[in-house]
Amino acid sequence: MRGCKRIDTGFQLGFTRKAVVKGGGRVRWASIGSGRSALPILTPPPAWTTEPAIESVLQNPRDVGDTGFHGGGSWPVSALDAFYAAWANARRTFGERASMGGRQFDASARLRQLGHDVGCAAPGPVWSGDAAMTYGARNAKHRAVLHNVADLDQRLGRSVEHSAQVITGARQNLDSLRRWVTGVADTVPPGTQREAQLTQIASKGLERLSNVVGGANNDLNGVARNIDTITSGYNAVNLKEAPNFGDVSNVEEASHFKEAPAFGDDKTDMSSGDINEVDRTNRELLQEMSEEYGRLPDSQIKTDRLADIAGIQEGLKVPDSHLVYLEKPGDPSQMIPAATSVGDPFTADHVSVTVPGVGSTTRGTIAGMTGEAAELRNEALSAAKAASAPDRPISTNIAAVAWVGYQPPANLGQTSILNDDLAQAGAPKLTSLLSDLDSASRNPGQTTALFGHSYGSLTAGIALNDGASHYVDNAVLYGSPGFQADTPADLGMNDNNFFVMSTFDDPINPLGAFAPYHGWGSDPNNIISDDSLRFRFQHLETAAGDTPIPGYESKTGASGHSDYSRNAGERMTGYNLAAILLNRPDLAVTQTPNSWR
Amino acid sequence: MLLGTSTLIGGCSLFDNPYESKTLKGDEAIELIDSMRAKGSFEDARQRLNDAAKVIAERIVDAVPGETWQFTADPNVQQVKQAGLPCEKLTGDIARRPLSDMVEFGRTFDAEEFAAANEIVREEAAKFGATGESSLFDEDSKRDFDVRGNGYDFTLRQGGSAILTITGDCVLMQSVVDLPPGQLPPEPPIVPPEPPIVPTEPSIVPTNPLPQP
Repeated sequence: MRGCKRIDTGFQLGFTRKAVVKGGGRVRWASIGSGRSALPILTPPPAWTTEPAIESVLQNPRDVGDTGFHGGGSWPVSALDAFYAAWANARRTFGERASMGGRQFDASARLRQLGHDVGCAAPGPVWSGDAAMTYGARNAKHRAVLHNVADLDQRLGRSVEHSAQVITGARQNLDSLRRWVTGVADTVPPGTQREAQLTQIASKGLERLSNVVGGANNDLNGVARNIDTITSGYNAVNLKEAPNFGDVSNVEEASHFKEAPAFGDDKTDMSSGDINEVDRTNRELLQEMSEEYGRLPDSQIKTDRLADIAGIQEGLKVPDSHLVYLEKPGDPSQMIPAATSVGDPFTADHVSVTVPGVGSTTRGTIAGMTGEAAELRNEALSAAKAASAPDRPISTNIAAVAWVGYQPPANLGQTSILNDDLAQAGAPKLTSLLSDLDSASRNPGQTTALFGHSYGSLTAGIALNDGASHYVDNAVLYGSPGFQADTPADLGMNDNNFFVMSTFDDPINPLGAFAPYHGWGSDPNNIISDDSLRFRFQHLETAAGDTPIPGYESKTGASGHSDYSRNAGERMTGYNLAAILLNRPDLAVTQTPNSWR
Repeated sequence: MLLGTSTLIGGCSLFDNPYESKTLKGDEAIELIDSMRAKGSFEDARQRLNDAAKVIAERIVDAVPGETWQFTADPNVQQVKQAGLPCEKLTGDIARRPLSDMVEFGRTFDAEEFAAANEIVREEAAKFGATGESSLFDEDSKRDFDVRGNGYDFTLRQGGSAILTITGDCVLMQSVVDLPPGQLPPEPPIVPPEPPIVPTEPSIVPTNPLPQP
């Protein structure tokens, strides 16, 4: 449970938005972000990063100069000397000091808390009138700026972290390579063939050196591009709409910020906490978008966007559904992010937010998800009535949110399934939605459950790890390929409020088993054997069976990858989601490794 | 390694979109709508379910001394039951699955009473063509009774309290039944019209009476 706390005004944003990137040599200094010192982004020097340079060394080892290894400075040098010289230069490029982690550059959690606190100062129902409206609008803009800066901080921290990982990895690879060359060279016997064999070893070593440096260079260039984008984001923040921005010292910059469009103008402002008002405002925007996209020349973009809108319209035909979030993308080629709610998420005692996975688009997903939200709410309501006891009543004031706010991979055939880029991009948006819902809530005792399916579980895991756990009381990730955690604590959760569901025949399970090998944390279904077999993450039952509620109907089992949330009233998985939605994990049916296999 | 794994499972049901809407469009939807007209409207069906729930509750109370019943006073439950649930093949503005209001009994049943109550539910459910009893876990100790069939689901269960609910099959909204066959109902506007402002009765006593001359 979360609530508004007294606003701590001691924290002020201090941007250092000056020259974004200086220098073109080995170190790029990016002085951006909220209240932090300059940030070094290492890039290898051009002389050692291009194929021709390496080729030159291979063809003419004498070009390398003083190696410092095998009698440096003496000519002629051997091929092995050439390798060591190239290696030494490459190694110097990546430095010696410990790489900076990204966390020290990421103040997003603090910024989101500040945004939440500012939201608590929004006019409530007891203050109305023009002044309240004016102040309310300003308050909403303040929060929008804080949330956007938090998102940017989070991305910046992640980029710095990635940069540090690349550098650390390159150092390790180079050290390993040198050991390999030295070790192999030591095994070459003396004789007439020795030099030829050493040349072959050196050639192979230089080839690998080229790969290591080139790969690291590519990665660091990618980081640099990301930071350029983030810099543009910082520059676009409308400081006039931010609280406590008194440090805009540069007049030219200040005028730039003044002219920049305010963030949040094209997406939902739910700060009123009035579901009818939020729904109507979003519908009006949807109507505008329908007309605007309808005027586009015939194209796939027009077809897709109008299909997005039709999908949202269909979702809104589900009984008691509301358009709780809508964003108009700046680029019409982008999917329209949206979220529907069955029930009122601002006043409900229990709220769930569901994140879809691979293949989910607004046009193809939101209507079905909204229907499932209605089924889930009905099941939660039935369970609440059945399990409620005079000494421990369970509220039936429930809302279920279906969020299609990010673009997951279209299918498993896409290369984007092989990395977490889309999940990384979606996670801050999910956190932002959870934060906005939390800030707009009129119910201080409200509980929030986060549900993530398939690739959506990866997105949810990253979001939880990055601070969304602040807004989440319970989470269930199901059909998961991994969620970048080895323990619930990695996600800001614990064994009593973080759960996994996996059907025994879910074809994604083998993919989850490989999660540790590509940085997606532990296998979601990892079994630990100590005194007895247990799941690393607490599992909830997916097979048919009874519930712990006396007299409550038995549930059917789920199978495969897509059953988890279907027919919530009939399946064990739907019942378990309902129990977690009700903030009653004690009513959920847990699973053991013995019953799973 | 990951690429290999993806390829391995690439041809299976992972490509399914579990959330994909299965609603029909165009002529298929018209055909289905027209085939459902004989079943009447959602509003009438919900009334029939409430009538049936009332009959069952009153018969049970007559058969079980000291038992009482009421439709739930919980506004959250009332709202959900009144709205109904979405259908699989038609959107919520066209058709819905009706839910009866929830019947709450004053106390739980003992084993003998529960058997008698089950029999009453069984008899009334049969009038709707629901004759298939749940046998997933057929245990004497279980305290829930579920009869299904013909699109209906009658459930009597008791945990902390005894509760009766009835779910109906998908039926058309009255506004759709009222339209002539062979056409889709008009698409509702994205922004619904503002509800009409109901004029308030003029106050008998003026709030600011004019000063007397």
